[in-house]
Amino acid sequence: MNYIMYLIKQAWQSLTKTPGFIVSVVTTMGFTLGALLCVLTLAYVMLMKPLPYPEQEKLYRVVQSQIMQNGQVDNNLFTYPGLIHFYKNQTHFSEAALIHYDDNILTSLPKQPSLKMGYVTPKWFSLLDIPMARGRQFEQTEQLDSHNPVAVISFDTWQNEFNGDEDILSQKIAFSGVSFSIVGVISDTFIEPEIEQRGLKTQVWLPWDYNLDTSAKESWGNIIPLAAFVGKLNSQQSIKQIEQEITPAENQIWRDNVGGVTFLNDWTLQMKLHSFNSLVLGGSHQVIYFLLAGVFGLVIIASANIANLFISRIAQQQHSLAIRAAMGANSKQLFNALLVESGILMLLSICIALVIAVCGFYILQHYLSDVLPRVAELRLNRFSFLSAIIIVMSLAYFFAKVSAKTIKYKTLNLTLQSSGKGNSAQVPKKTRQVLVITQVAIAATLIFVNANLFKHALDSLNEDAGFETHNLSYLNLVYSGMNWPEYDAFSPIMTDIKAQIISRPEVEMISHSSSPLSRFWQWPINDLVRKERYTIFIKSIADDYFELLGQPLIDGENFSTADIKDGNNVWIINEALANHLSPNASAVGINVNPGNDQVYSIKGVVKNIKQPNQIDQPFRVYGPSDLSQRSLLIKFKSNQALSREQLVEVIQQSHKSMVIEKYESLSQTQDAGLFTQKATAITTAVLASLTFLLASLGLYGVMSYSTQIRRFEIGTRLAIGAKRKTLILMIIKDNSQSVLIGLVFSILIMLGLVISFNNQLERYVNWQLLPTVILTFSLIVLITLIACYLPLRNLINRSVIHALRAGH
Amino acid sequence: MSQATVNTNTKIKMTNISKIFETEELETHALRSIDLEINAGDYVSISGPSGCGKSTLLSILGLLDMPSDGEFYIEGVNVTDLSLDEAAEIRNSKIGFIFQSFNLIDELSVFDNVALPLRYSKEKMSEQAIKTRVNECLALVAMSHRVSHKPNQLSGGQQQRIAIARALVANPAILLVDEPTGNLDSKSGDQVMDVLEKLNENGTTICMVTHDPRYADMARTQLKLLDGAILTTPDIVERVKAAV
Repeated sequence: MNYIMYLIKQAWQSLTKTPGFIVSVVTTMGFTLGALLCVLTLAYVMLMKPLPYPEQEKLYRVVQSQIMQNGQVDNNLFTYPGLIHFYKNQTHFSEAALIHYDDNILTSLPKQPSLKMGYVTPKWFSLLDIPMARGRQFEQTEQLDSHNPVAVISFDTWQNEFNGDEDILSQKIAFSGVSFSIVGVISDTFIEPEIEQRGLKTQVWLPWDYNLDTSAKESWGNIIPLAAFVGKLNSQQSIKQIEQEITPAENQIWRDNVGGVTFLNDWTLQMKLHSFNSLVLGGSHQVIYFLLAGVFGLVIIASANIANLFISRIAQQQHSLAIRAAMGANSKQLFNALLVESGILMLLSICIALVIAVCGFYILQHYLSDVLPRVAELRLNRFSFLSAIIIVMSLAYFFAKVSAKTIKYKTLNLTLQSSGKGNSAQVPKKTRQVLVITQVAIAATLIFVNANLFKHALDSLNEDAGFETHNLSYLNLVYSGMNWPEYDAFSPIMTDIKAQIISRPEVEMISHSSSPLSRFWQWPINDLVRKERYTIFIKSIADDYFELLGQPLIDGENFSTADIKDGNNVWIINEALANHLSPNASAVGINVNPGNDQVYSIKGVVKNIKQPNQIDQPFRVYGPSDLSQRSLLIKFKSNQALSREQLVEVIQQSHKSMVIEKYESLSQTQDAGLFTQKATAITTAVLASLTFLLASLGLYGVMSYSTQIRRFEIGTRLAIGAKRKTLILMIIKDNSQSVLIGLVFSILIMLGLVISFNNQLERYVNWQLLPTVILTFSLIVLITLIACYLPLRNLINRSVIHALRAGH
Repeated sequence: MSQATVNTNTKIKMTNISKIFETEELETHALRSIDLEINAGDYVSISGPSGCGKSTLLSILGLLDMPSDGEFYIEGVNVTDLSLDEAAEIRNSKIGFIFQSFNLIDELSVFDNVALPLRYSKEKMSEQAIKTRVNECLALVAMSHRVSHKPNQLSGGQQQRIAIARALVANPAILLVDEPTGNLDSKSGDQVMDVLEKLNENGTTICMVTHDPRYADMARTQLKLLDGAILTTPDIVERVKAAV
């Protein structure tokens, strides 16, 4: 024990003499191992950790697919009556539940927020053993057809919408004109199974009976999206046997009920069981393997660089090691001393790594919960700590081994009587050159790739969308009453609401149009005039839309008031469609017959716009909106706006049952849409900087080592009268060949990438890459110059005797 | 670099030179008030026990280290406060070093090792001139037959002779010699000392640090250092007086 304490004390003293070394190793390995721990924990949670539900391996979702005449799957959805029939009659599951996901508007709060709903039967709670923070789960009183108006809310809903009100269980909430008593609040420890949509967090649970209006409940011909049957399997049969058993029965009852629908002739049903585990994981295996490969690559590069630093340090310690050897230290004892040093450094690194990993979990949970499964469960667990211990031990051993290999124990004592014959222990010159070449080649490639991805992401972020978003907000309304009115009935309602909003002093202008950022409806058309097929993307707008958005009309004219009022068959199209329809002349006046017995006349052409993440320019068409449309674009006066609550108040004054389905500023929507580009920009900038840092450290390590072992020679040259400049140039010249070879290799790697992935990279390869190439090479040259100068600085900026003495 | 009014025959003049090594805890006075003058053609030996300051004095003499106090002239030029590059220039043109461990550069041939000071010289010489001068110096130490060898192909004595040739190549004002025989057997050591003696006879000024009394005796002026100060000898006292 005393011996170990002695070793630790010695190692710590030795390390504190070179604080730069400690900082370089600990920061590099801290960040790299942090990324490794983060990804390893993610891989463990995704691939190995059981789902946090009782008997999770028995939990299945039953999926019903409708198969068309040609044997292809049309959809994977239940019909409403089919689902209820299966729920009531199934025999293979000991416990079963139904869930239907949807959005609905909480009309009883002033803000009228749109919430994620889960309509469930009571067993949903017991199947998942959902922990409660307050009150109760759904019970027998909420079973199918009980129509008991109660609600359970999520912990977040309790906190965010009710400010954690202690009296929550005495409150009521209203959706679609029905008032529900809150009977429970789910604990914040509950992890929702992502069986329908990744990252979905249900905010309110209501009994299944309230999920749809009654007409859909009887229809065997319609399918219902977002609804599921889940259950705990209680059968000795194999999954295949069960599927084969339940399919004919369900098929029969469906066929019996849709016999009159000719469209469905010869269609069949197929039942399939999917385990919760496979549903939650989805197709994420590839992503996690890709992440693992990436992070292991990073660890290898970082370890190689840090190994260089260790080797360089051993070169500095040659003399003291020789003295220890002369005093009788055997090679094992020298190794032990090195092992304790690297052990201390790796322990410090892993402490930082654990902090970095926790930051990584936070980022994954906040920004990538809808991309990766189960990130909500990410936290440091036994697996993370076990991995950390294994990593510390293996890396400490690796670095000690690399260092020890550098010491030629047999020649150590010769170091003491060195006669300038160069017999001190050294890594051969060739190895050093190879280290520099690989270092430069890898660094140049990684910096180049990341710099390009960064530039690409930045270009997308800075690209002009082709329309204004400033001070503009999009409002979409829905009806919240029990019975949905006829479409035309919305015309007077919307006209009045529009009048109410424009009368507010904050509002500058309002247009009866939908947002340029919302979806354009896809319409595959069969153009009978031109006899060709193509797809257009259409949206309805008012005559003031283009003026409001500052989207220029480049040909023809805008809609007239009569076009809007009479719903004339006129279109305004974008440049892309105009060029397609009439490449050499004006498209205005052209008629299009999309195959629905109507003819539409092109009235004008507007400039193209770019929605976030849009790759190609689609054929966009704008038609005149009608007064029943429930979308509005509001332009506020400078620095003014209406809050959601204020707007609710305005709308309620006009019509009690109209509620806000969506209300968002265009700038924020656009920002959110550009999240991928922003994430890419940040990630690549971080990666490029990290690579740059690693490459700098690596090159510095190799060159510092080269300079250390030439210390004696450099001292001699100084004594003979070499000036500092001469020596700096000499070191640069000596290393420039390796650096140049490294750069050539990097070009070869990049060419290899371009040739191998020609299809994917074609868009990126052009002369615009030249500035990035120049930037990359300049950065490498800069690193090289710094790495050449810094180690030399200690020798040439002090009295010559310093270099000569250390040479002995 | 100011010119001092000294005897033109004086190669080295040191007045009140001291060197203090400071650490956090203590000050070590490596040299205390050294006064020293070396004239053209002198053969001076500096000897003394370990730690007496011999090497420190030689380092300061060779502008490898800076004194803490005092004034120092080489051929009448004040070299007390030179920048690193100015010191390099003086070392190149006025001082020839011979080290105990030879300090030859392994990657360079014997010829290139000897030619090195000429390549660092301020006045650029033609390749032909360099070749002639290097060969001259190699001939002086009887090593002309080893021109294209690498240092590690030579014996210790041969290496030290190459080092002497290198020290001579730029026609320095003085040769500074640090324990030239320390790494050699007695036979090779004697040969090296013979070479030095011959050089001195032909007019080369030499200042040598050694702890070997036998070799110290070969010098015409023998200085003894103790605790950083020169123990006076009749000869030196007279000279110092004459200089003042």
